[in-house]
Amino acid sequence: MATDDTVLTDDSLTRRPDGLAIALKIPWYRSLWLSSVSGVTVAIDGKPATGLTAELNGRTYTIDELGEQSETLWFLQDRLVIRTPDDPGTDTVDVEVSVALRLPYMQIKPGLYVTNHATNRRVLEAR
Amino acid sequence: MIQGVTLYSFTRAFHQRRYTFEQLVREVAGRGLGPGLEIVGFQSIKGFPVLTDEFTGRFRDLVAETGLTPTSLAANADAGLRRDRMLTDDELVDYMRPQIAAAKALGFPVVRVQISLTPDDMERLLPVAEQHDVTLGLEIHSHQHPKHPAIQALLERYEKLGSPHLGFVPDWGASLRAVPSTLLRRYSELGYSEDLLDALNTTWLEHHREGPPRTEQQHGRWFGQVIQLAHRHGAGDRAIEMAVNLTGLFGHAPVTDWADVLPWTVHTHAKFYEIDADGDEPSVPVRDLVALWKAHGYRGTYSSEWEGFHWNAVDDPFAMVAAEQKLIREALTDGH
Repeated sequence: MATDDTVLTDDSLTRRPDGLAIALKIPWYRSLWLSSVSGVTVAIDGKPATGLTAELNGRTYTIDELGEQSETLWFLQDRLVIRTPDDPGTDTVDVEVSVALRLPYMQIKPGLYVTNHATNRRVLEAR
Repeated sequence: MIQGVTLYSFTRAFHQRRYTFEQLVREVAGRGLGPGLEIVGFQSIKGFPVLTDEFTGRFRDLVAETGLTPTSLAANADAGLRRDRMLTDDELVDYMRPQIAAAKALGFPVVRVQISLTPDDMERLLPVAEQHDVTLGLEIHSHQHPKHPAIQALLERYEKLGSPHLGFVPDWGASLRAVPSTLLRRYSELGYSEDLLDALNTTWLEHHREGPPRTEQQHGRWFGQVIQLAHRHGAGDRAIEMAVNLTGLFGHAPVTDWADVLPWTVHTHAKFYEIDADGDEPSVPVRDLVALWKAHGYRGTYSSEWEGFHWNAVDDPFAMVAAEQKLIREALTDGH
């Protein structure tokens, strides 16, 4: 739904000294609070990646900490950068990312909200 | 009465950073898709609802330069903002305040608000709207509809309060006549079976015969029904999306049901999905809706809202909006 097909883009993958950085576009039509990010998983060359952290506006969070960030907005045109130490070291990397967004204004019943699941898998060149 | 567009129609282009906000507004003006300009605060403005003086000044200059008319600022009632609990009514009212102030600062006369707000919340927000001299338009969006108890409760409160600062924003997505064919085609391209597509379409038509859901339980039952049939046909992770589309986006309200709320209609989301070779919208009865609006003396904006972008990355959103605006114009002059 919406913009799910463009979570990963050609320039999403960057190699850093301590691992890979994967820049994600938000799979929705509006900015959302980071507390709406209810799950992020990454697979590198088909294997689940470990030690994930998320960066936005110069701050770093563990994936679990995202749930508490109800005052930090992920702007529609900004990227959330997911980092993992798991780096196969090859020029191109098969990256699969799943993002779950709990939509804070689409209530199914009190306390239960519609969740948008977006999964992208692409072979990306590390920059 | 004016025509216009919501920038929501161009979500894909903006999301892909093909336009900055200013470039997108200029594109809309340059293509003659105004004069009405509607924006979603949380889509277009970084840091919303906090506005810098610099942004406010630039926006006002942009409006003057392009000659567009700000119509509605779409706000969001994010009651599920916190993971541990829902916002209290006090917190939700406070959450809306800066969004309403932002509308005033940017020159939007209407603030689109959402169904999470109860009649009590609207009554508590009325002084805020009065203070900023804007009108709060609660969007009637599928799966709600004009005869839904939550909307009727709001209508009753509006009639009691009798304020010009309260109203509704009908979204035509609550009144579809068919599942958009472009969506079924997209599912087919993604490899889902014809059996599944037939089952989705048949189920939607059954719901259509039942009429728009009068209770949340009925909507919940439909939602579960679509998820189950999608799973049975191997839709996997896409089952939820199918249920959201089929029971959440494509509403069943008969056109005439809108008559109840038209006296309180302050802005209109002229939602549409596709335009056929004859220039008509096969899934939204645009001509019938315009005829009713016209018969009731509607004087607000028809804000074209193309939502086909959810699954249609092929058609040009600017051309789609131009085509719907033409259809609305023709409908407005029918029967003269």
